[in-house]
Amino acid sequence: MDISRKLAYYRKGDQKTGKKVISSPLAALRDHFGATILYEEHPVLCLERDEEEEQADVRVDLNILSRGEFPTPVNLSECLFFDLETSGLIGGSGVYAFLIGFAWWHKGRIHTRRYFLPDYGREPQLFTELNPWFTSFNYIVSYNGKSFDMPVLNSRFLMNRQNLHLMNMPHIDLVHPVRRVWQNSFPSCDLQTMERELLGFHRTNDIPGAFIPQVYFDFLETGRLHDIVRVIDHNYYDLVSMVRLMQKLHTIFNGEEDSALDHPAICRLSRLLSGLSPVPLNSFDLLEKKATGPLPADYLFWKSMAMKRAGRADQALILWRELQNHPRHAFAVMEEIAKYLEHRLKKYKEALQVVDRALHIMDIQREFGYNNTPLYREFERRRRRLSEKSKVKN
Amino acid sequence: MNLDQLIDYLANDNGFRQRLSKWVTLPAKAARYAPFPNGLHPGMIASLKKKGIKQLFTHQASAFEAVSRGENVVVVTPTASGKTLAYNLPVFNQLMNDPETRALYLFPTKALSQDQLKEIEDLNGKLQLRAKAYTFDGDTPADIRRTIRTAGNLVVTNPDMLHQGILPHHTLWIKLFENLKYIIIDEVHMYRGVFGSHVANLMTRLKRLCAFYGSSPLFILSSATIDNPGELAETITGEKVRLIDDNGAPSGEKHFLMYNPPVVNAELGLRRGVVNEVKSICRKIVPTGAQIIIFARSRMRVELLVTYLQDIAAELGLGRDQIRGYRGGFLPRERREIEQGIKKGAIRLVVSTNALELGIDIGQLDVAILAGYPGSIASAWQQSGRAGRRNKTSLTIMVASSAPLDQYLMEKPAFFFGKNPETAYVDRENLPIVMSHLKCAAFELPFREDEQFIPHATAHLLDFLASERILRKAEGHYYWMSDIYPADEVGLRNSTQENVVIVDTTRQNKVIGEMDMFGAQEMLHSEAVYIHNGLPYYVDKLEWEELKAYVHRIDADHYTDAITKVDIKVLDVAEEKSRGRYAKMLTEVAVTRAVTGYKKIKFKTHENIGFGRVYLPELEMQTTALMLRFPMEMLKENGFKESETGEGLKSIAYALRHLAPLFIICDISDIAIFSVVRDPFAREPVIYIYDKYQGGIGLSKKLYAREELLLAAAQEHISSCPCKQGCPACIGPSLEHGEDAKLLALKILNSLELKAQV
Repeated sequence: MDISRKLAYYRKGDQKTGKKVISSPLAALRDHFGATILYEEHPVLCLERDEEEEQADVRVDLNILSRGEFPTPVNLSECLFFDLETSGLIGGSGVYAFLIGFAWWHKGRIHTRRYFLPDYGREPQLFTELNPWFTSFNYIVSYNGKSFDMPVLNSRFLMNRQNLHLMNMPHIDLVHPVRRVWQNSFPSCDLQTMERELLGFHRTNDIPGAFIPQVYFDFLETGRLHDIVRVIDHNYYDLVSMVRLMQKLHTIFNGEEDSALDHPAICRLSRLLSGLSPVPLNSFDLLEKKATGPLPADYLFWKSMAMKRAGRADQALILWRELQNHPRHAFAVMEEIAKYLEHRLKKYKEALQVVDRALHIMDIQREFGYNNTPLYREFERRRRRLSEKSKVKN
Repeated sequence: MNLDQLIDYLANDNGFRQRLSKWVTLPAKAARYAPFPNGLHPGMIASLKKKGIKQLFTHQASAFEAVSRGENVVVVTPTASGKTLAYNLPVFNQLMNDPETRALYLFPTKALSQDQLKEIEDLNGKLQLRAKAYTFDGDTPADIRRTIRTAGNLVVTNPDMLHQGILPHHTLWIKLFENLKYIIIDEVHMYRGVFGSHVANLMTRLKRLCAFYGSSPLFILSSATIDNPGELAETITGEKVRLIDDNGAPSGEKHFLMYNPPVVNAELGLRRGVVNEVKSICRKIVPTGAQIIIFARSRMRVELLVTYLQDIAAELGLGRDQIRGYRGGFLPRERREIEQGIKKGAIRLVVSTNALELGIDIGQLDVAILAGYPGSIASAWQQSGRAGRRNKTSLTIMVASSAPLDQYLMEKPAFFFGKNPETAYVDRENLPIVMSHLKCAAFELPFREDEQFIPHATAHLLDFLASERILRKAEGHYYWMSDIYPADEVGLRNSTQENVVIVDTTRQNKVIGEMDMFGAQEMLHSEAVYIHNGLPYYVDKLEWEELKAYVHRIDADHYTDAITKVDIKVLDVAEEKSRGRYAKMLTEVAVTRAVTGYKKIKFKTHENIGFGRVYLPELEMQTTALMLRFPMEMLKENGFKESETGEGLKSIAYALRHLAPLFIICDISDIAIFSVVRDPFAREPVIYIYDKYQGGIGLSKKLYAREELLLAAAQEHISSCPCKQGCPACIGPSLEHGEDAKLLALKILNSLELKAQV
């Protein structure tokens, strides 16, 4: 038997046992993370890790921050958190989710389970087993998952001719409430910024998201582990931060510890509150306790509008009078004052004075080239109507 | 004066009649009807009757019957022949039986799809169907997109959007793909050349996804009259397609006039310019109150004509704004406004490029004037179809330019009226194009190892992409392995995706238009005089890196014409054949082109009044070329000096290039020609005719098969041209070649001992 036939014989022997040899990079990853390898035919790495968490509220109230989408408190233990690492950042059916991470809360611990797919074509068996597991949760929670992670995962399931059960579950995408509060507070609302600013957590050796697809391709080509390990860790921190961030959101309107809010956040929240119905006036008191320093004018304005909507225009009037000299809100509150005097108090003359004053200031501004024609016309109409009315009254 | 009176009047105008080389009157055609086919839903019949349709035209009925039998069809229809009903009948009928039915409509342009949506909705409303029809294009708002994906029965879009917006996101369109019954492709004759290659590949991608979702839709296509609609439809769809060309729609009497401007300089063989001639024809026709459409061959021509006609607006009794131009490079809103103006009759005279040759609804006009032969017989008929309201008399005047092709047709009107329109050719296998679609397809769905995308070569190409690390082979499949979105890297209409925007610095840097990169090098180079909307602009600077051209308004008495330098290198020889006195070769070549300068041409007199230099990077492409070799020996035998050979070849080349479109459907600008006495590759005098597109689109391949016909046509044309020393109509303007050029060209051609008869 010559050497090539011998080799062919040995290779045949390997195939006969039906076992695929697990590639050494995969085995190394398994050992590094203490993970397990699922499915011998098409191996997938399953990583589990959990950590203890300080006792916190397990019921999360998102009523206000979700603008009523989740009116009753969400039980943390019913939530499945998820986050993907993918081979592309724009989306489309060619994007492969090579790392699918989940986290959930159980008895004071944050549990995570992440599936790392060490090559293409490893999805079918995993997906079949994931679907029934999903049914043990009632909410799916993500960070920006509505526009990215969920469509990508759904696309992956469809390409494997399976339906993604998660699509039928209520989806809490934390990026939306976070933006409703902190959009103006930080330069960006990405998860890393939020965990640094709000949770005081600083990652070390983190890999920027934009590099992740290339890291996966390099792993496929070379089997080098260094960077892919960083990606797997990155995913872990994303998951844990999500759980903590959700609790953080709960504390804004519940409990007072360690939750000072900066002025931009206070202003955005007051605006949010003023648009809700019924208007939660007592929530303004909570906000004021958390504010540092004097309350900003924006805040006062939205509070006054909330009062007006709650039928407390008499109290709003006090704030409006204060705000008349604030450049940003002067005309808006003058309009409100005029409306209130005209329609509620029927004091046409006083109303006319307010309108005259507004028009006078606007005239001056127009000379400096600042024009707000629609508002100007509106005041002019109001003035005409008011002078009619005051004549009739006289 | 109505149109019939105008025709009488022209017939009695001796000055006018003298210029005509042919006046053809095509008799009116009566309508031919067929009863409602059996398979038609009774509800449909009732609604059609309510609409006043008591029977169908024969072609509508046979299209319906063929589709009912499960056949793909292509319906050949001139303008205004009930095309919309022909392709909608099967769709609406199916919707009556199954309200979940989906159909995909593809129109060649966004403008056309929005226009056709109106017609579909109209029909939808009249048939009282609850089908939901939507256009899906770049302008569709995000919230409506979601509705279209899940609930749109009829999705109206264009190939570009299908390519970039739908196929790469097919999992969002699962409802569409699962229930897709019909794919309607309108104006399929538009999909030829590069665009056609792209669309043919796009259809392969589409069918691949349909198969994945378990649907196998039928294709319903429509085409203008070309020689091979069936073949084209089959290349585009990759399916067997039944041809339905028995058109039952009535048509009115049609007058087609071939008008040759008078010779102004017999020595130089110069005729009066088309632009001036069209102007004087307009003087005759406008007073009759007829609404006129003028088709010009280039954007530049459109602008020239608009300028000249607006100058004489008062004399014509029109307001300046009753004369408008229409062409690519206008902003969509501007175009929509012009279309409306034409439809409502507010615009009396519109000058257009072939942009209006397509089915955009502008109503029917009275008279069509073709300012120069549009380049193909199919186009000429299509443009002529813009004139003449249904059942009424129509008038078309084709004004010949001094170009060889035009003059050839004036000499031989029979060639035009007797011959079938040209063949539309699509090269399904242009390598760069196949490659880019293969990438897109791999992104959309992994390739099985044994899958066929194009016959024979699929596995090779996939392996190549895997070796380039764009795909990864695993588990018997090829997977997409890149974080780019491949559909963004490919434009369907041009080899280059990017456009140069035109910025008017005198109007707060307003963007007044855009242009592809090749066009921009020629029309928007620094110091060019660019004409937009009839107004001349001076190009201050072309920022090549930023793709911006900064222009400002000027009052110019001239415009500019770019000078392009070409260099050719042979990379490979595919086929080769000796023809006795000469040899032909089909070669793979690398062509570099650069605009190196420009000529200043005076308005009206068209005198050359100066030159300038341009410094722009070369644009390189790899393409196929037909190479004609003329052995030095043979030329020496016939007593040619080297300089004489060069002169002769240049002259022949000119004629070949201009006559080539007689044999293949293409624009003169789709091919280019280049002659050289000492070719570094052949070491002999040669003429190259090459496709002006990356990868080639099969034009020179087609010419390779009929080069003798082409040479014979050139020989005949040059010898029968009445000029003495060569003119723009045969071998090029006499100032640009020597006195003997015509003679030399003929001597070389005669020595070839050609046997072919045109």
